[in-house]
Amino acid sequence: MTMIQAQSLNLSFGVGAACNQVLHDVDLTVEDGESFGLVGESGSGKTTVLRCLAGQYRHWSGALSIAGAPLQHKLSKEHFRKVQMVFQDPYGSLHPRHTIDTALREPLTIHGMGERDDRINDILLKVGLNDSFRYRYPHQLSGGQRQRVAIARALILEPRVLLLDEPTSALDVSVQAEILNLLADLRQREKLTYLMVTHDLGVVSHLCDKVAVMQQGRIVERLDSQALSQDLACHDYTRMLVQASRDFSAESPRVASA
Amino acid sequence: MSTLKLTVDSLNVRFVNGKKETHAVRDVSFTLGREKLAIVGESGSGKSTVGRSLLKLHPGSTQITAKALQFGDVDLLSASEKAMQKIRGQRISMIMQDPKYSLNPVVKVGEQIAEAYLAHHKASRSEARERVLLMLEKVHIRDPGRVYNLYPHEVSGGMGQRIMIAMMVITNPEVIIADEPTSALDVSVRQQVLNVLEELVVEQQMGLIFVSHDLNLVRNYCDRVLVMYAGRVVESLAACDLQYAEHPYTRGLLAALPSMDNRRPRLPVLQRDPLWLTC
Repeated sequence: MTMIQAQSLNLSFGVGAACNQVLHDVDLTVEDGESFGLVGESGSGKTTVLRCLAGQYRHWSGALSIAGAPLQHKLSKEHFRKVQMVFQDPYGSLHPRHTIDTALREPLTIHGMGERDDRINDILLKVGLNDSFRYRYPHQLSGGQRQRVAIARALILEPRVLLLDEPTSALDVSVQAEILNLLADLRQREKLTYLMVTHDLGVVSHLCDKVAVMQQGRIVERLDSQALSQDLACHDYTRMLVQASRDFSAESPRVASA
Repeated sequence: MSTLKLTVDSLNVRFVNGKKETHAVRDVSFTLGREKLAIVGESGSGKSTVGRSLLKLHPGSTQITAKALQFGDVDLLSASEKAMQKIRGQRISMIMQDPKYSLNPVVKVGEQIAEAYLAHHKASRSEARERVLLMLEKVHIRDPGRVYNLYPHEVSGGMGQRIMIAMMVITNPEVIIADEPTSALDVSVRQQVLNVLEELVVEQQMGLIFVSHDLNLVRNYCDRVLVMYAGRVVESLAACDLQYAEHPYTRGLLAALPSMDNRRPRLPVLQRDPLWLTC
């Protein structure tokens, strides 16, 4: 079944001469249970696609649907039960003066879900924390723990789709490995669909089955992550990204940086 | 080495908070010449603290002790606040981690760069503007005239970091401390930014201290690597020898990286050994 579908998604900001079109006819299909990666450089519009799906931008044109239900410009509460987002920066995405408990309770209150204490304890265990974290503030946690809380915050509504906006780029490599393992486990256990935005090809080929490459608001290539690592990319831009990423990777010889 | 810029001998940094004392950096020694020296480690390993100690950017209650902390002809340990003010920004400058928090949100980016220049040079505003536009071009910003007038929230993260670099390099410092300058950047822009830094290091004979957690980047970019764990340097080696690293911590960090060519169902997670804290 198709979980996420976007058809000729267009979005622009500003009017008249200052009009800046940031998405050009983006087509995207993600199957149920799939993990799909969007890669591209900053400004290529990859996060913007996520924001349209999450309902943060509402003036898009085209057609979007989640689990077969087309998206209206004004999103319903049910939509947010299905789709949740994890943001890039765990330092910025948690309210500094709310305890973890408050942060996790808020979505439950909004959606009128019961058994709140149990749900909060459950979700903390699921992301590898425990109930001793409930009454702490974000500044009392490390970056990795905060990102776990952010993932818990997204999962507490039991969504089917998780939109991941560079979930590990603010973390250390050792912590990144832990979070990537956690995301892989959760997907398997909860049968989640991931749409992940990243610029790290190592991360994307680790976590995702399929990859779309974006440049200047357009999807220029779609391929399997298998094909990506076997150098089967056709588009010049993709090849450049792969090359740039290889230049830093372990197996390559030292680059002549002239 | 005749080009020796910086000598650090058994640097110790302690943060004192009431009765609580945090020993953040323990007996760190290194020298910096006209080269690119990397300090790698996880967050909390004290790598940024080392960089900040060199500029004495810590709060007054911090205890910094060392056998030697020599920068050219200046002894940084005994330098007065006034002397430090002359060094900061002009002779040693620091590129911070996050452009989002380091740039003033209500001042146009071009004016912020001009301010850095005017703080250390006698020049008219229009001269400063010219310098800034030139500098923006040097950090590969297309259309510098337009970017000059933008506010920090209007530029992307990658562009913000290049603006930071322009601001820090515009005074032609002798040593640059770059604190994770590229962790917010894309692979494609990263190389450009690194090349800019490299050009400047070579051209103006600067020394670069590159604080990072990205071992692969460091291995290809820097000349020497110090690996820090819990405030100590656990290993110091030439960057090209990184794959022969012996310390289990360094090896663990290398193994934890997801790789395009080597797909694994699970990434090995670092197993910490309490022994590392003492030896």
